[in-house]
Amino acid sequence: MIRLGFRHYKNLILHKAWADFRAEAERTYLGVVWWVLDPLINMAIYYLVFGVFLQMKTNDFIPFLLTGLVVWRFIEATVVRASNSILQNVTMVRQVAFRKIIFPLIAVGTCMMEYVFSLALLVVVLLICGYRPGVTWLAAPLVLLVELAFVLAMSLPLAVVVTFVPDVGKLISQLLRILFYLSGIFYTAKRLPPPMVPWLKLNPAIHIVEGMRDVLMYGVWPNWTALGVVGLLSVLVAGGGWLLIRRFDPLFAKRIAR
Amino acid sequence: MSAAQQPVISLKHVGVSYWLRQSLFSRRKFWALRDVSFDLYESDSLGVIGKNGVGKSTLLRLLAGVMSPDCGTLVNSGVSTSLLSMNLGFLPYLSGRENAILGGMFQGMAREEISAKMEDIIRFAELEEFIDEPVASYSSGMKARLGFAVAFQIQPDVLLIDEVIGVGDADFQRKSVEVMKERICSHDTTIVFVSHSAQLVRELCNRAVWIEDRIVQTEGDVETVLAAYENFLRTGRKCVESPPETG
Repeated sequence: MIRLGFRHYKNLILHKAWADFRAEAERTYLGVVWWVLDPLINMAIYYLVFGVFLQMKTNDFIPFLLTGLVVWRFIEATVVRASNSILQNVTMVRQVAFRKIIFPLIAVGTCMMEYVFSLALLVVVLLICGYRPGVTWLAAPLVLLVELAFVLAMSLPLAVVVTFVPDVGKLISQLLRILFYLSGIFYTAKRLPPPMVPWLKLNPAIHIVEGMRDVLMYGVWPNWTALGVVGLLSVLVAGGGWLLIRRFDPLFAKRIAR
Repeated sequence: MSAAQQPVISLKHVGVSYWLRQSLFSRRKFWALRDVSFDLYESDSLGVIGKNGVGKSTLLRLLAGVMSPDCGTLVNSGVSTSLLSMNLGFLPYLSGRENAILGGMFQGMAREEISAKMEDIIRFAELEEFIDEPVASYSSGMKARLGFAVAFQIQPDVLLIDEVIGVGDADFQRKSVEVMKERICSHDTTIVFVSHSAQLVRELCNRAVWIEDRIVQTEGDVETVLAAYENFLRTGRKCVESPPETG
């Protein structure tokens, strides 16, 4: 057992997240360009399918779609990466006694670094489309903070569950797909039959997506109540996940494929 | 030599079990260690001997604090313990230098501490020209050298060493065994050394524990324990008590 202070854990998480980020960039010829290209290609596909083929196009369809996709991709990428993180590092878990919470946190950190690129892309596209930074843009970091809490709330408990029941990992991408379709990425709630809207609002992700559109595109303040509730519940669930990881700490090393 | 001291780590009837999955709904409890008792004293070099698969690696994980016992008690008087792990997952696209820093941090060293020792690491690993190249371009021998050079920098109160201390090519193997022996014999670190080689344990350790069938058969000074172990290897009989005390 080695006793490590908070500072060491903080440095380790930042350093490893940064290393993973760069390792991923080094892996391809285009490197960081992919974090700009990926959402662009993604958007082009949805533009073609929903905008052109299905005639759902509105005047602001490109910024509308891109905002939704950029926000969503962070949620998806982080949850997938973080929930598998402890299982993936099982060799390290079996050799060194440190807090396992670092693995999902490193995964979240790496994804945040990638997120910076797609957010920068989003800002550039918004500016090209004629949107100008207004006072409501100041609320964007708060929306992002709620998003971060939401992502942690999904990731931390799942990281424990996936370690002990790897089959759940297979389900996660399916569940995320459902959540994606229910998050108003390529449609607004206004176009749906009114009785369905309240049900849709039960999905926390939709408030984050709409919040970002409100502050960046429409120049209005987000729905503070909804974001507040999502943020608070997320912090509670993420805290529960944290405790869960602490509780199972000595058992992770035993989860071996024998 | 250390009879009057308090043990730094004390194990009493410790057992560790894993669950083995047999099918979707049935699993079986498997005891990797069943009944292990011994005391570890400061500046001991304790050799743990036994054939492959008797639970020696599990014992090291237990001492490293990676696992906790499922029965019995393990009392750590407050010392830090670390497994000498040579391969903490290199990131192939990053340079040897960056991987050395990461590996060191994962073993509990501060970043500045590793940077300060970087020259030593590079020299010992014989990677002067390659340290800033990506690890993906390293041969397996080079990776092993880097792993060992980094791992060897950690200085816990109790160092846990698993079998394979010879890594890389023949020259480096000799060199790594050499520094390891130096460190063990200097007695400023407490060592637990796991091996199936009686030869190495005799050379490096002052006390030994013999584990067979997941149970500690005998413990004590090296010669007594090794005599019992070697007798068992020859005859297949675990006659622990039989060698007279005079031997």
